[in-house]
Amino acid sequence: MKNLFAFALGSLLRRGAKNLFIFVIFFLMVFVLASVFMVTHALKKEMFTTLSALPQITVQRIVAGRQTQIGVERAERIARILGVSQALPRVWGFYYFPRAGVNYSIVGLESFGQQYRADLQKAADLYVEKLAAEDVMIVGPGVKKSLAEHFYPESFLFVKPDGSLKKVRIAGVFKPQTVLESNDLILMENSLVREIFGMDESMATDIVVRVPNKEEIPTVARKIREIYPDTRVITREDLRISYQNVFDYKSGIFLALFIVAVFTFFIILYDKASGLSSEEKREIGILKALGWKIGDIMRVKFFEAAVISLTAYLLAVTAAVAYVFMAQAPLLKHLFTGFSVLKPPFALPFTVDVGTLALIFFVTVPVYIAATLIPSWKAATLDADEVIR
Amino acid sequence: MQKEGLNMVEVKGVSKVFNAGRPNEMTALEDVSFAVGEGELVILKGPSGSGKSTLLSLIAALQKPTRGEVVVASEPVSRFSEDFAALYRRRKIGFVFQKFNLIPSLSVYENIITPLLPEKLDEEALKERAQRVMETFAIAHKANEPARNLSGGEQQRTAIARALVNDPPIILADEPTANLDADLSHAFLSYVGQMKEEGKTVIIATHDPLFFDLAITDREIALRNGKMEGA
Repeated sequence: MKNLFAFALGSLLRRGAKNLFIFVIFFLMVFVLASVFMVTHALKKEMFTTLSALPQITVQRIVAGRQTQIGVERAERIARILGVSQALPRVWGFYYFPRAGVNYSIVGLESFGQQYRADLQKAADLYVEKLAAEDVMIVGPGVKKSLAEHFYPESFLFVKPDGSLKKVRIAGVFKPQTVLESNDLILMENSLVREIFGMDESMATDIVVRVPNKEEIPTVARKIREIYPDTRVITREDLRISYQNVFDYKSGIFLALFIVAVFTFFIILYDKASGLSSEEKREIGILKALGWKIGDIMRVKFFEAAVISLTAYLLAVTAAVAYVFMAQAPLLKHLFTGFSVLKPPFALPFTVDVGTLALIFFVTVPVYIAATLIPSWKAATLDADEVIR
Repeated sequence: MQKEGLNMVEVKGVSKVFNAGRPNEMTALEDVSFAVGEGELVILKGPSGSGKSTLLSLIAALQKPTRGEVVVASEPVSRFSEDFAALYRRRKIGFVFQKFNLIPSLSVYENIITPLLPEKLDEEALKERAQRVMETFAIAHKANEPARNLSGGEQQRTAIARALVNDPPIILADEPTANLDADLSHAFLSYVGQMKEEGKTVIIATHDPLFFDLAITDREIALRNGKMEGA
């Protein structure tokens, strides 16, 4: 067996150029497929994790087709709808930091330093002594990094709508595990957010509604629409569908790439399955005449095909892991998330979908091996005499 | 005259018809019978198309006869399954082909050890066996040379070394001098003498007059149009 394996390796090298071409196509196809699937899987996982943390219902006020501020008194009315356990006005928005060329998401919380300290300690590294002070914020790792790069290591001067400045000190940084959600996030007191955005005390950005019984969500959403016809009521299910649609659309682009890759692969398979070259047939005939069994010949052909396909597959998957999770999938990630430079960068979380990798394996490696073995078997079962005359 | 003792090869009423029942049906051999004793050197002679190569391929179990039987060392090789036939060729037969049939991209050494690769031999054993035949046929200095770069004589010696590397009791040679000049053809004759001295049973199919009426030849069998003219 060892001798036959060595012979197979020698055969691969003897037909180096042809085998290298097949190897490269095989590698590229698996690499592209594995990379795309890894990126989408990582993004989907993150998106749906994020989704599960989103409010069951979000109520926004719409004026002239655009979202605008909503009165906080509406939260009280919504809270009285049967089935609603809580309706909270939220204060949040985007703050553009021109020096870094990015938007930060500023989110307000009521009395966050006291009320949410326990939760925040789980999610962020807090500078406790600063948390109790006024005018503090907890920032995402991306925000912390970009502020530090622009000489704001401990605090930042926000420019208010009237042009005056507001100094806010950093009291904590979100932990790296939350990076996809928190990278561009700044968390601070509601009153501070209102001051920075110039919002009135009676206004909020939106209202989030909690409904304990999931079955009642569509009914509650309908009732809110009836009471406040100028609102857009978004349920978590709406968001899930929206995300799914974006993924489906972008996955379609890759379906086209996939088809091209598979087409090339099948040309190779066709070439393999449609027969051996006269040189290869002759070689098989010689081996038979010298006393090789059909099984010996098939073993050598199996080793040849397995070495090419398995090596290409394993290298391609390794390269895809490095490309996606170490290099952060340059180009590919932005095809899915958009090329906007306004959003601070985030890291793709490491997650490997074994099922998808197994699927890629089964549609490539065994298919290629079979396409190699079938014509070899045909040639090996001919009379050697016919082949070598 | 056939030597007394064990018949190494027996061809019994063998016929071979190609494309039987089709418009291009062709009878290559018709009712051929003869026996070759152990250690004999037999020349199968006859013009091109007389059925010599077909007869050798039947003895080597590369094909099956349409009628009749080939028995080698008391084994009915023409009834062997594919795998038994392969094993038989590997262990009992050394075949020197008309065009040598070396694998051009393999080195001399790699070509020579090819028949041994399916056997469970370690690298040392392969080298030792190859070295022995390479030295016998003066080709050791070209061990690492690809076969495509060899001269006609070197190809011939490599092919003979390959045929003998598994130390088979029977050597079959099909038109071994067809592609060689006079000097190399004479060299081949000396190798045949060596094989005979080693006790091999040698059957050479040829129409080269160089092989006719040789002192070392035990018998000549003439074929014409697939039939035996005399034995």
